[in-house]
Formats: sequence, C-alpha cells, structure tokens
Amino acid sequence: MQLKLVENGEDALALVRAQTLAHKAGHTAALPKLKAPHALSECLIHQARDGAGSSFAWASTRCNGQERPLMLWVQDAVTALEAGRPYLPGLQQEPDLAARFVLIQAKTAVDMLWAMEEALLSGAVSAVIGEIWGIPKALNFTATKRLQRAAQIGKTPCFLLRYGQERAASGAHERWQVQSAPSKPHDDDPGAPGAPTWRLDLFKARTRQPSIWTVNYEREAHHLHLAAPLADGSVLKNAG
Amino acid sequence: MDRFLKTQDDNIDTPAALTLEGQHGPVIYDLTPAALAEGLRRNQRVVDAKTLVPQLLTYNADPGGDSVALRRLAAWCRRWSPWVSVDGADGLLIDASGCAHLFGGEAAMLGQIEARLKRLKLKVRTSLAPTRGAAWALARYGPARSIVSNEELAPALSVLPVAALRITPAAELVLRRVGLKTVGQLMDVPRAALTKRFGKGNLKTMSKSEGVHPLLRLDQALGVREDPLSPAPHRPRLRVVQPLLEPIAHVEAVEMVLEGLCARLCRLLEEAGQGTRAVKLEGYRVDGGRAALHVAVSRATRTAFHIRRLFKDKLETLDAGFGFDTIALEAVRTQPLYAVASDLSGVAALDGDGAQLLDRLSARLGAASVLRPILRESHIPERAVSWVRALDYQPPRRMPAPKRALRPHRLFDPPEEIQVTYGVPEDPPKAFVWRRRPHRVAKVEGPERLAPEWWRAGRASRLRDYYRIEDDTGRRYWLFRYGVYGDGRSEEAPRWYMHGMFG
Repeated sequence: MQLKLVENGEDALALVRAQTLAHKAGHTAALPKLKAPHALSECLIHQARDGAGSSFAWASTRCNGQERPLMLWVQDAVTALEAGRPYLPGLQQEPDLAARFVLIQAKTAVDMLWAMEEALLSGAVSAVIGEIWGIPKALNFTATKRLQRAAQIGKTPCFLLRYGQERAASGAHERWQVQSAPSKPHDDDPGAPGAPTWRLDLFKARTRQPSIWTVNYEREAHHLHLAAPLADGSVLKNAG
Repeated sequence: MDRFLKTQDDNIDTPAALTLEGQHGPVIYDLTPAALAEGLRRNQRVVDAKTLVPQLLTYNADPGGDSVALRRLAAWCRRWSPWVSVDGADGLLIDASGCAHLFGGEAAMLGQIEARLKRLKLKVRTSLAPTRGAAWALARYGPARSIVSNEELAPALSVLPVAALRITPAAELVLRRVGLKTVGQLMDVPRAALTKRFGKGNLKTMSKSEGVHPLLRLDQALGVREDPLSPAPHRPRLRVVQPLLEPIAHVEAVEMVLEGLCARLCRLLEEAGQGTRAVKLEGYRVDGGRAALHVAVSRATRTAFHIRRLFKDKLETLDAGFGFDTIALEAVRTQPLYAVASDLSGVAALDGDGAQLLDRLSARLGAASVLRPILRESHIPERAVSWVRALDYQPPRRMPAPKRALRPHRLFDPPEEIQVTYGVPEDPPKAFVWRRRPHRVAKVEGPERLAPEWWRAGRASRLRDYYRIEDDTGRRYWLFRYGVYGDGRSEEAPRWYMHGMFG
C-alpha cells in the first residue's frame, strides 16, 4: 500500500494521511472484510456516473448471514434519474433475491429517512441501502444518529450512499469514500476490463483504524484483495 | 331501456334506440315503445333502421351499467324474500315460498311489487307460478299479474307460444317449422320423437348453439325436473360506527376512538371468518362535511394493532374542521382469512413482519412508491425486470433461471444517448461524451449482440450490440449501438446509448 502510485495532489495528500495514521497505530490496517456492521455506514460518492460506491455497498450488505424476508433499497427521485435504478439481473447472486427485494422511490428526504428507520426497527429486512442526493435539510447530524441507533437496535446493517462533493457532519459508525480505479487487464483478454478495482477511503470509523486501500473485487469469490501496485500499467504510460 | 328512459323523460314520444357496435357497424340493442311501433326490431342494423325511420335518435347502450343496476335492484328486492337472483339481462327471480302471507296474500304481493317498481319508473311484468320456468314464461308471454297454482299449471302453459320455454331462437325456429306453435302442441307430441330431433338421445348433451333441450325446459316449467334458484350471496357491510358526545378535533382524541373501533371491526371480521384488504375511516364533521382516509394492506388481515398503526401514520392528513361528531370504520374489501400454513416450495412466503412493514411503507409513502421486482423471461434488458406495487405483488410461480451473462448493477431506463467523438463506425467508440462530459475508453469487451424479439417488436426495431467498457478513470459502463450499418431497418445511422453502470 505504501507503494501506491501518486497520481495527483489529492491522492498524494490522502496517501500521506493514511501513512501517518498507519504509523501512529504501529501497523498497516487490515483489509476490509466486505461485511457491513449492524450499524450505519456512510459512503460518499463524488460522481453519480461512478458505479463503484453502490457496488461496494451492495457487496458489503449482501449475504450477511441473516435470514430475513426482505431487502430494502431506498432512492430519492434525483438519484434514480442521475444514477439509474438498481438492476436485479446485475445484482442477483442468491436465487431468491427477486422475492426479497423491495425498491422504494421516496419523494422527499423526510419520507426516505422515515422509511429507512422503520425498516431498520422492524427486524424484517436483512439490510437497508439508502441513496440520497446532496445534503438535504432533513439529513442533519441528528438524523444520522437516529439511523445509527435504529440500525443498532434492529441489528441490521444500513448503508447510506450520499451523492455529492461535500462531507457533512454525521453520526455514522463508519464513513467511506469510494471511487473506481483503473483495473488491471483481464487475464485472458488483455483489451477487456478485469476485476473491478476500487479505491476505498475509510476516513472515519469508530472501532478501527481509518485507512485507504486500493483493492480488486472478485465477484464470483466475493472477496477483496489488495491491488498490486503499478499493475495498471500507468508507469509504462508515463515513461512512454 | 328503462334506465335510459328515466333520464330522458321529456322526449319519450320520439322513436329512439340504444345501439351497440356489431360486427358490421352498429346494431340496435333496445328501442323505445315509439320506435317499436314504427316496426323496428332489436338486433337490426342501425343504417337499415334509419332508412325506415329517418327521425330515429340513437344513443350508446351500456349493458355493463345495466347489469350492475339490475344486481342492485336484486339486492333491494330482498325486502320481499331472502332468495332473490338476477335472471338473464332483464329479469329478477324471487322465491316467494312462505313469504306471500306477510304482504297480504299472493295477489297483494304482486300488486305491491309492481307498484313499488313503477314508482322507480320501471316498466315491469310480474307473475307467480310454482316453477321457475313457468313464472318466466307467464311474466313474458302470459296475462299481466298472473298467478298460477299447481293444478292450473299445465293448462296455463299450454296456450303460450313455444318461445316461452326459454329456448334459443334456433330451436324455436325448428319447432315452428314442424308446426309446433304452442307449448300445448309440444306436450302432445310423443317424447321419443322430440328427443331424437334435438340432441343425441340425451337431454344434457346439446351443443352450445342449440341451447338447452326444449324437453328439459318443458319438464322444468312443469316441475318434473328440478331447476334451482341460486341467489346472489348477501354480504353484510362490515362497518362499525362510533357516535360521540362531544365533537373532537385533536389527533390524539381521534386515535383513542380509532383504537376502540379497530378492536370492534376486527371482532366483526373474525366472526365472519374474513380478513380485510382495505379499510376506510370516515369522520363526519359537525358542519355536515365528511373526511375519509383509506389504507390498504398487501395481505388480508384482522389484526387491530396493525390497522391502527397504518392509520396512525396518516391521521395528520385528516381534516377535522370544527370537529367530528361521528367516526366510522369500514372494511371495504374483504376475503376469507384462514390460519396460514407455510408452504414447502422453498420460496419463503413473507412472514407477518415483512408484510406489515410493506403495508406501513405503502400507507405513508403512497402505494406507487413501494415497488417489488418481477423477473421475466426476456433477453431485452429493460424488459427482463418489471416493477409492481408491493400491495399488488404476487410471488411468481416460477423464477426465470438466472443468466450467466454479466449485467450491470444499475440500469438507465430509458437508455441515454451518447455522442461518439472518436471511433470507427463498426467498432466501439474510443471516446464519447455522456451528459456533457468526455470519457476516454481504455478497455473494451464485446460485443454481445441482442436481437429484437421478433414476436413482439415491429419491423422497425433494430438489434443492439452491447459493449462493456472501462474509461481511463476505471468507471465501467454498458454501452450499446442501436442497429448496424446496412441492416435495412432504418435510413438513419446507428446511434450509441448508455444503458447501465458496473461497479
């Protein structure tokens, strides 16, 4: 991780920060486990045109070993337009997902937060994913605290995907920022995209060390592993 | 016709007709007496009728509305007997056994029925007979208000035309051709000959076009064979009302009243063995106004707590004005509710918690906001999933087998057009603009060619070549080219669309 390629100023700063944190802790933070805790996790998504954030949230919340009848995905209207609807054949891993999936298209942020809280407290959903555009007035610090509490009481993982550039105050258990990164070429077809590569930035967490990873997601194996640094060929490009 | 005349009592003397769309243009469904007097008849084509009677007015008929009105009339007629059923498109059958003495005898009862219905501006003919077939015949072909006892039955019927036997026009025509004009003549003919003529020796095996065997109808009219009446089931309204001493306007007070009402309604439902799918709360205001709230549930329920909670989320929207003096709760749609056993199909039926959560979400956010997916066997990506309201959701019997092909986890529906800025026509783009931002393509996989579904789509639809691409920042998209050059489907050059995002 320390060898990670420095591409621009922002990344450089982030790298320095991560390294400092890692040094303070005296060790390198362990890889995230793709298992969302029974709490509120937030994921900041800078660009609606980047599918990495929602894919990461989905990977973290699915198959968490809970046999509950429903799985809830909540969207506000703007997100549905800008980032599209979730598409079942692309999400589907378990055969019974279609029988459990519920999509809510909320009209206002208040409705959306209410629906998420109700679902978390009901104990009938195995996970809740909420997508919200920007920072509406209703989504203040108190609202995130409420969600966090509801997730803890209902013992249900909850992912709040916030689309926008700004970081607002939040009472979430973990806060991520996820972006796509160039993947390494496919093993059998050098021109094709390989396993998706994500740049995961855990910038705030209650129980573990904030850190930054660049990882490959193996979809079939449902497994993350560290991306080999420089594997995307950028050094070659820069040299050439 | 009566229903129509009720609304048009001023120009009742002009010939008028109600029409339906027939196979070759509109045909006459029903006529006013004035039009009948002009010599027009039913099932005539309107153009023919207009040639004969140029001043004929035509209006659209409404058979659906007629049958609803008749059913409501049947319910109203339960004042005379509990056994009332609708008979055909224009008749009502009342089983008056043991009822006539309550209205002062049979003749008085018929008089009362006619008078009451006339007050509703309906033209009626009534008759009373020991059998259903005989009553039908006498009401249509016999003298007005005829009452026939068991002994007089055969003589009374024998003078009526054969059409009085509830047979099809085709069968009637056959009988008339052999010279059998009245029921009496038909009775005199040896049975064996008739049986042979209509049907293959069995009274019950006749084709649909021939209708019911005339002999069977005759037997039924004479009471030799049974001909039971099946009245429409009477469903009492499941409704509880709470009058209040003092008008109430506060949400908390309404909630307290609601608690009692819910408990009472659920007890009613339990006694009836029913569960409710939709509940209506009505508040009658002191100023004479009325406010109503509706909630619906995805599975029949009779749990007072659940119904109360559904209303609780919506009570603020109830406009109390100066306060309610009466509050009523009604189960609008009900269905039988039995103890539920889990099925063995492996697809988990929603447990109580899940269904209740969906009801609450639907009640508060609106039923159109809570959606569930239905997977379908279609390789057109946007057709493979359809979304239905959670309240209307029925788990499908069979799930389509999951496909191995890689699909994006987010889909843009409809697909968004992109502008290719650099690329060879037959190949995927090297660079494109999507939502006013340029993207440079770094890696490509494809094409995956999806042909239009010829059994659904028209000739103009073109095939799609899907490419999975990654741009230089690592974002992954699902692009397609609509059509190929020279496919002969369209003059236009193929266009490119953005259809989905991969994670």
